[in-house]
Amino acid sequence: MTITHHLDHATLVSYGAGTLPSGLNTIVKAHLEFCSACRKDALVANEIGGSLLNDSQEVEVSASSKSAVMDKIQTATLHRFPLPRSASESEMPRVLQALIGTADLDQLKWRKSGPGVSMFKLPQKSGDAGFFGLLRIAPGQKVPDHGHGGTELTLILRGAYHDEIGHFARGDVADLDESISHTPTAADEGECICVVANDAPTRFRSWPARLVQRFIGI
Amino acid sequence: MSQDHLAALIRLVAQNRDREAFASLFDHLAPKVKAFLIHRGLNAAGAEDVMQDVMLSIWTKASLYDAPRGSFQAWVFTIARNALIDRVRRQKPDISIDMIEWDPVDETEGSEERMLREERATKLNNAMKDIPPDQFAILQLAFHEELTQTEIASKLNVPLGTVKSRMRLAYAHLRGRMELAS
Repeated sequence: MTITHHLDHATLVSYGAGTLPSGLNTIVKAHLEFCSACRKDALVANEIGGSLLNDSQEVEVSASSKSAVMDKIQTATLHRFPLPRSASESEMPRVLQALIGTADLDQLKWRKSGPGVSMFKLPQKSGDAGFFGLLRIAPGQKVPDHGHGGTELTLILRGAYHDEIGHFARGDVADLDESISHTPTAADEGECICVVANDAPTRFRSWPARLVQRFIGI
Repeated sequence: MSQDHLAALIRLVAQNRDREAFASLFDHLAPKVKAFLIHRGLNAAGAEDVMQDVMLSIWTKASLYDAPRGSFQAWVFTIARNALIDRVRRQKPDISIDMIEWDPVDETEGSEERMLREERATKLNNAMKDIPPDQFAILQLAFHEELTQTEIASKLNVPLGTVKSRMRLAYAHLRGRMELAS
């Protein structure tokens, strides 16, 4: 898998801080399973967190805390060094498999949501706004021209699409913000399945698309 | 306490289960970890409780620090952040947040490379002092106040794009300074 589209460093900073909304957070993790370059970049965010922690002004700790911890370490079970895991061999990243309960994209109960487009919604933390789910787009099918109210992450799991930004294939992630509007079109060779999350409603440009949006809830 | 000294202490804990070394780490880290947890919204009692979990994890996971993924202080930060996520929000344990599973460990890492990891952290700590205040403020809001990008934008009354570009600039600056050859 050759990955050409990566995560925005701003997204990795928020990921490191642990503040991404749940859908976006899951897509970052899924892309990291595929992409060693972004895994390396993500470590920098941990370093930033470490530096800020080191710089924290100190708060007094109770004396009983120290003796409690010193007692507990006598009997605590040590963690063993985990063996490195190979990336998932199925099309579905492990983090999505854990969420959905299957690794087979074709076994999902897809719901038709427009011409040539089906959808499978994924659960997100209560209170998180926006859409989180899988989209299945028929070969050559266009998704209507739309922009985004906030951040939108799209990770390609099968096939490919192209838009004004470029060509996106399996493993690539499109990390878009409110300044970008695009019309993704699935490649003619086969269907495109991707997982999408955003933190604010999608803004379709044409009124028929906006009308459909009311029913499909993207 | 210098980064090298901290790294030497954790290695004593990892290799010899050295309780005295651990007690020194406790004295140095516990007040900082507790402060971090209070920043992230815990009350004093809750922070004290989760801090104990964090320190206990540092003991039980000490050997994992030797996976050359970064500095000691970054490792402590990820343990504290994950303890918050696991304990306080009662989410399922995260399967990949440390990313430790995906890359094979370099068993051949020598003492020089180890020192280099901590040297980079020292450089980062110095670089943090001279990033522009508007960028530093955004990092603090994300890492300390635990705000999302959208929440930072509305708190500072700037567009989301400005928050993202300041994060990118801070990231690039800090990474550049970390990786400068000594």
